[in-house]
Amino acid sequence: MIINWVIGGAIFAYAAWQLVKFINKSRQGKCASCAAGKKCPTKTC
Amino acid sequence: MEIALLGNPNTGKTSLFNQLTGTYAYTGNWSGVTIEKKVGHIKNSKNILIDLPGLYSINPISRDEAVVTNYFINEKCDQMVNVIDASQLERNLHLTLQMLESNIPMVIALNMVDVAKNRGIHIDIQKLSKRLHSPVMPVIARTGQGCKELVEVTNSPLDRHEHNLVYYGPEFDRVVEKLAALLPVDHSPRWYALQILEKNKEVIHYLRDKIGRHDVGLIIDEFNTKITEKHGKKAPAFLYECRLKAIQSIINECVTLSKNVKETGTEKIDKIVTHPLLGIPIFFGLMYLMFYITFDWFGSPLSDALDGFINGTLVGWIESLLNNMNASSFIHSLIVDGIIAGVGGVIIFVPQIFVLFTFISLLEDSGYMARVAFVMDRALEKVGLNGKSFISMIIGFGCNVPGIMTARSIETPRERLFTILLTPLMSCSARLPVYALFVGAFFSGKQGNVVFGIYVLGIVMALILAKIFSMTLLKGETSFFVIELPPYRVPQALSIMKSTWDKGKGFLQKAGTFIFAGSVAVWVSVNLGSGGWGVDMQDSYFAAVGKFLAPIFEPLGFGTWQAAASLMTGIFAKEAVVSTMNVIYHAPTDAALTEAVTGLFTPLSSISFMVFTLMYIPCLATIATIYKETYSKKWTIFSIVYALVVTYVLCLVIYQVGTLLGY
Repeated sequence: MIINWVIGGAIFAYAAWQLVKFINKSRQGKCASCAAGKKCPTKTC
Repeated sequence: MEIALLGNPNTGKTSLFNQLTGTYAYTGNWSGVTIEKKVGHIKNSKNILIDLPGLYSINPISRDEAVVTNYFINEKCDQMVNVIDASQLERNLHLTLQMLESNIPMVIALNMVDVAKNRGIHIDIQKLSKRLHSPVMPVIARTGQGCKELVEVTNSPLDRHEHNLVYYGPEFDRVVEKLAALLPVDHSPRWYALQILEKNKEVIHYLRDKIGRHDVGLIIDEFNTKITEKHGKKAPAFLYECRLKAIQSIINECVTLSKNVKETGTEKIDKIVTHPLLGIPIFFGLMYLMFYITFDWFGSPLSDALDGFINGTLVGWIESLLNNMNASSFIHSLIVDGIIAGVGGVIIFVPQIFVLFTFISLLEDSGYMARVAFVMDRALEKVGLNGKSFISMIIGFGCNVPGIMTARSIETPRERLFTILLTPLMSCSARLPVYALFVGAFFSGKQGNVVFGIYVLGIVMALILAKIFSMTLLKGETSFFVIELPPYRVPQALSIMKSTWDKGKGFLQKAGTFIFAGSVAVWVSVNLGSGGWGVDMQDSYFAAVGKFLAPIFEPLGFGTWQAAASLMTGIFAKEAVVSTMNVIYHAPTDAALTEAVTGLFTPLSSISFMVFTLMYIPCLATIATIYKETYSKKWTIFSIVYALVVTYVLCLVIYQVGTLLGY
């Protein structure tokens, strides 16, 4: 029983966090949403 | 110490930056790759290196060039490394002489000395160093030869003084005297004088704030009048000629040309691939080969093998693990029907994506892509764009966001705007799973042909729309496209791997983050309805929204709630279209999903659906980038509306004409 709560809780929490993070990053546009991500050493965007 | 790396476009600045810092920034064998400054620490040194966008003159024409001027005005730079292409010395020295007027010490990295030697160009390094009053270090940035010696020279501090290498006449000297009296001591009056007299808007703006609008205007007007009276030409042209004379004197003294230089391999290849008639067919032929190898020959078997592993072995392991843990049917369904179906359904296309990107990276690194921009320039000129737009579009094949950002290097605002609006028509990696799914289901044996057709359609639509936009929306100036055709080189394995990884890694990252989250959200939505939890999927809230939208797509051939709902999630990220389909079709394997789609689509409606996915709306990140780059809500909304309208009409024509023809 507990294991169901642990697995379910972890999955839903991670999914909710990623969903909010993704939408926030996408809305920022430019470097924040770029596929190059943190590897791009550009200083200012 | 902060060292700025500057030079003409495509002289190998970014390659040298990567060699000196040991980091990896995106390089391309074409100009305009760097659009912002990049910062890195030099290996075995405490110094910081700034990679600036390439430019021919310090007077900015495009937005990325303004980055360089603003850097020298506003930031503290202790030293410069000027990268010069040894085979193009005359043209490169214009920037060198302009920057030597400042009091910032300069080290010259004479790059591509091997190429110059092959072309019969011999440069006397010591004489050149003496004439330029600066250390000249021969390097080959691509291989790293000479980089160690270059770092050693940059480690020792050099004196700050002006060089006065060009004589611009007594009128110019008087301007320098006036400015010297008005400017702070750390500002080089010669450099500032040269910039304002050459009409560098950024510097004029800066000096107006510093010493007053009236004084700056007076100095410029007075100089212009005197020069026009004395020499019969405008000040910038006069200053350019003075510099050209100095350059020719340097070249005469330091450069000798060998006679009887044989035609190089590059020249022989270029005669064919940049041929006015053959150039474009050769490009499309190579593109076709690329898709044939990716989809029919190499990528698909790899994807099938990965599908077998994920949906066979991996699912087996996970199911037995869940059974051992006594996980409930809820958790079981969440993981297998939600996460594995959604994420796995996208992951299986990774081999095809990476194979395709390996080819694109190969073409880039070899130097061929610069030729593509060159041959496409002729076609693009006719529709109101230029070759630089095509560079943005090719980068857009990986991800539209960096593609749109490279449009900054385009000089005229009109061409820049068109490029920003049209780059989303280039098929990014996120759209590939949709094509891979449908061509696998309906076009076995002709998969490469169909995907090639979709990509070409994106390019052709961009050209047609550019023509329409330039005739209706914005008429105005066009710019000339200047591109260096770098010598061909054998692509380096490491560079190809890095470049491929950079293009494709975003896809993998999204699978583990947004696609994971999106799959969970879709799984919840298809199980939740007005009857509570666990309703039949047909009665879920997700289906209700899909059913509401489905009639809109009926004339296009895919009026099912599943198709409508999948396209809806694709607005966030295009990969979500396939992952949503996997979850809502309850397809545990790629084969099962193929079977499900063959029941709901026909070959014709699948083409209509693929074309719709190609163009219907830019993803959220692309829309936000369009807004940030245009600073305009109007153009951002336009980019969405025109894409929707054009795509709808195009798919309507494809489906209705296809139906009439009996497909």
